[in-house]
Amino acid sequence: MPITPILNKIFVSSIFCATLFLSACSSNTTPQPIPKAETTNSVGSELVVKSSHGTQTIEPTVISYVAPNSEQTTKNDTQLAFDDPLEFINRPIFAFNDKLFEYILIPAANGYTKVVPDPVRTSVGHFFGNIREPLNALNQLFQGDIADSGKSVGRFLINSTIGLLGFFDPATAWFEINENVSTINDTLVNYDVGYGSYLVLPILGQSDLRNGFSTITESIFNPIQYATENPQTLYIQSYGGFHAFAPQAPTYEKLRSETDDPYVFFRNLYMQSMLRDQQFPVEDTGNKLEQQDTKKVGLQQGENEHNVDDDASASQPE
Amino acid sequence: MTASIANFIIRYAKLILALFVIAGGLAAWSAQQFKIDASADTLLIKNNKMFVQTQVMNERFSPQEFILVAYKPKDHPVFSQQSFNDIQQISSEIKTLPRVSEVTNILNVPLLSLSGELDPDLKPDQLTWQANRYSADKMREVFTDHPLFTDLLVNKDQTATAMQIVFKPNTELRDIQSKIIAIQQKVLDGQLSEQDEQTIDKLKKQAEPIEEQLKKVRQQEIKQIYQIIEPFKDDADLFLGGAYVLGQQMIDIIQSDLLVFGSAIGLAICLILFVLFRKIRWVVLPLLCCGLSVLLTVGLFGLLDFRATVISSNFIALQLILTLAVVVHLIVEFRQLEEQDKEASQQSLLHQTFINKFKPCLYAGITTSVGFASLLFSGIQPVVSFGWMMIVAMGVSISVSLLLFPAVLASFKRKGDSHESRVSQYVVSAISHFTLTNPTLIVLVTLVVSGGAIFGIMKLNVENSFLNYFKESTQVRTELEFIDREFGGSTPLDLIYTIPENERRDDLVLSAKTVQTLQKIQHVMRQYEATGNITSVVNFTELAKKINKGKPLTEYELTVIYTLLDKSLTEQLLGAYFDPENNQLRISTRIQDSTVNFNRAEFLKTFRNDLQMLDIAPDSYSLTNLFVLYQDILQRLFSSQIMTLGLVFGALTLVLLVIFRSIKVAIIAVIPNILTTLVILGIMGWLGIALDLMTITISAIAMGIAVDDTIHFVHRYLEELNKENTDGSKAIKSTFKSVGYALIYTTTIIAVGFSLLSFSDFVPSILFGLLTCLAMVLAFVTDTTLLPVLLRKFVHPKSQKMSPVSEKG
Repeated sequence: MPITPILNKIFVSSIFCATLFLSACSSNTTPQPIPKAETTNSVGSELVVKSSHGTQTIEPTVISYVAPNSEQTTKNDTQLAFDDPLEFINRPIFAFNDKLFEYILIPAANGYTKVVPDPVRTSVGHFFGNIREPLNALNQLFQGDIADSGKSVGRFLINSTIGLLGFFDPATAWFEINENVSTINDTLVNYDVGYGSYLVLPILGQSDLRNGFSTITESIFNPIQYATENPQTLYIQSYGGFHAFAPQAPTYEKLRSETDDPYVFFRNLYMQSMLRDQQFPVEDTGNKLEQQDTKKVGLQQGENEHNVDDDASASQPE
Repeated sequence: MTASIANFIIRYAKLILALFVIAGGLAAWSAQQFKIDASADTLLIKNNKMFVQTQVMNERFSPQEFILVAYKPKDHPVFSQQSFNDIQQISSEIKTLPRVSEVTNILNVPLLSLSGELDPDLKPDQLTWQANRYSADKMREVFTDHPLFTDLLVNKDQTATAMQIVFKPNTELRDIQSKIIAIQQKVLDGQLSEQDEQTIDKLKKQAEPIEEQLKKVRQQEIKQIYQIIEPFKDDADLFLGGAYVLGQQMIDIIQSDLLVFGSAIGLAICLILFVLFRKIRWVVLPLLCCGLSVLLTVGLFGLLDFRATVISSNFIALQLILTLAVVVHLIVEFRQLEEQDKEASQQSLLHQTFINKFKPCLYAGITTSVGFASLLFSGIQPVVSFGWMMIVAMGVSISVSLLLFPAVLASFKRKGDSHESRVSQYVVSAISHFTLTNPTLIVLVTLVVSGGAIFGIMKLNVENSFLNYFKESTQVRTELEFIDREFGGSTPLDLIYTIPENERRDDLVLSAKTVQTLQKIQHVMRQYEATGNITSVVNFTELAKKINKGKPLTEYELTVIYTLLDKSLTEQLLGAYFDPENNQLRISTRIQDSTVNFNRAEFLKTFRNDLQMLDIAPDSYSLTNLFVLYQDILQRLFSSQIMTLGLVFGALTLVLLVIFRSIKVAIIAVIPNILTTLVILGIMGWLGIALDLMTITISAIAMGIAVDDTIHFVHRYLEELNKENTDGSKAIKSTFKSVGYALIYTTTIIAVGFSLLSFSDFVPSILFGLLTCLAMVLAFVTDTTLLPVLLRKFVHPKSQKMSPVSEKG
């Protein structure tokens, strides 16, 4: 693959930049606790329905968080759900990413998905998934989720051995222990650390300060670091990122083509999903919001412990 | 002049008969052209906005034509291998019908909630039972409280499942219809030009044969489906439902009713005629007149391209009644003359009968026609055409009876004498005695009854539940009701929501605000007792939320999914509910016809109020489809009734004035008619019988019947008064002795005949029969009690000079 070296270089430099940038920013913003108002859904977490049946509340199926520069804000001064103070730097990075995607990553990804057969790609996916199991376990431990943490350790042991270095996933297939990804971001959320502000990472794309910190830190503490030496580690990690991005390349392209201001679109998409996940945590079954939803709309809590499959990730070239 | 007409008829009797035979033959030929059009659009005013709107929306969201087959296993659960096998077999057999495009069932429907994640690369075909053979337990779990399929494919109790047979649209017909709609759409914000109307008419002519053909095919298909499900009935109950089946069942039952009860009533009339008159000729002659009148009328309608609608389909019954009345009056007169003058020849008897009866019969005909002519001013298309049809029918009836009666009899020899039976003599004299001795009582009772009737009319309302058309005990009713209750209702009602300007966003497919508004509306709708299955975009977002582990989607995620899904898939899933081009959303529901004590008008009012409470501007939504259409028609008919009735009575009074040349007599004569009509409506109100498409003409019928009796009675009374040495009481007595018999005979014949309809399985037929019978009896009672009392009180012999008292009924 002729593009790989270029890719690597870009990747190395970008991570470097990102880390620098992040550390610069985090010095003044990261530990900032989020004011409560920021998390409130602008439309309200429940809908009040007044009718001849009396006043009732229902849980919306689709929600929105008011973004800056949107039509909603210009018409009536609704309180913003989030702000974008870093737009001045985010926009250039986004533009850079966009071109990078358009000319390099997307063609490469398309070629990759075409050339490499599905089973191989699945195995590669399993491999990278397995490699971060210790990270999952650690995060779950920090979150006080001992049982899940144990499961992650179990998965790592099973898949690394029987699963032939993690290229296969017998833990799910035979032992019915499902993968449960947990990141530093999740841990930080667990400790009520705010997201800081919206952030576009070079190459990695949409993120926020908290998640960006998580991504960078995890790449540093990824078990692969201990198994291999640089520059192999970097190659492998870059490849992992690329592998994860590849199937989503056409998605990015399609969404990009349908919007006038892709920066705003991808930002709002990311921020709304992030705020929503924050407002509707899945695992915490005792949550007040969750209780209200069950009665009328006939929805139930997710039955299994499968982690939130962040559907928004489909559109985040990460 | 009357005499010379009589002479002419008697002299050229043979010629007249020959002409009638020819006319009858021609009519029989052109009667084939006659059409009964029971479709909804015949009931509307031309270019009714609501109808056009419904058409436009139907085209925009193109909901498919479908039939439901419910499968309710007897001894095994719905989710079991046996059910799955049966469903698969039935579906695949039905699929072989040429017009069926697909049979949706629990086995081939994509179970999106099993996809585990919101994946834009959705392959719905891979998420079916057919592809994966999920276990029965898994299937039960999936279909429990499913946002889309509960009430549609599986009922809430999970005791039955439904197969939805979706039919391919007829492309040719669809093209013509969309052309028509394209033109009609102009009505929504303006007027149609003359040329537009012509184009529409031309297009409609093109569509007609195709529709006719389609109707036949549908009929055939329903039969075939019944055959297909037959072998499975040992292990399960299988029901057919849906608007088309309902319509078909209705046509079937009406047809069999026509045959069974038509002949039963005919037979009963023959029998009673024979019992009353004891001569074959008095049975044959009325039947001949009635039959020929109807035949000629139908032939004429065929020629003029008049079409009977649901409203005017009663014209045959009505014409029979009126013809029979005329003929019975003629017979009674003839027999009385026969009895009085034992020497007179047949010819001279006929001559005299004609002279005596020509005027009252003609007057009765004219008055009734004028009464119906006033319907022309109602402004409602089907009512107007009913008016026209009745005018033609009356003209035909009167000329046929007046010509045919003497012409036929002229060819016979005088045959023995006849006299009225003892029973009828006794009844007539009893009534006449009662009337003459108890005038105060009669007036008092009248006042009380009319007061009661007016109260009853206040309670009158309109309801049109097609389900209630079938008698409760029938199989059809049970089946339709099951589907209606368990599988989401029958009569479709749509809410079309136009997204307000300020909620439209360029970067979003739908804003959260819009979906939430829709969700609120739907939440309110779900809580009405009468709403069945409700489907819109909201159901899909609910499903998405379910897949998303109960977390709501953000508006951007929704947009992403919508954008990334295959266009044909979004069209297939959402096409019927979302039209991005026009920024319109559709919430579709079916109203459960079986809802007990359901007040449709009230429901629509509450619904509109609720929408207002949700802050939804009236101009941002519209309610369309059959439910509102029928409700609108009925409401219009109902309110037009009041106006039409007023007109009818006004016109009647005028004609009576012209005929009798006295305001006093005219007013007196109109009172029994008003009373009969009011009491009929009042009784319906008290009994809680709602006016529907079938019974809405009952007041016209009551009036038609009452007017006939009145004219004959008043005419004879005035004649009797002109004789020497007479006073009111004497005139009343002799009127009773002549016309009284005719009245009592007509009433008996028709009342008994029509009461047979109460054995029908079709509720409108039962009501129609009983109400007609009641109208007959009421007309008889008022015309033989109140009318004589008023006449005797206020109308005196001319020689005595009337005292100038202020008179008022």
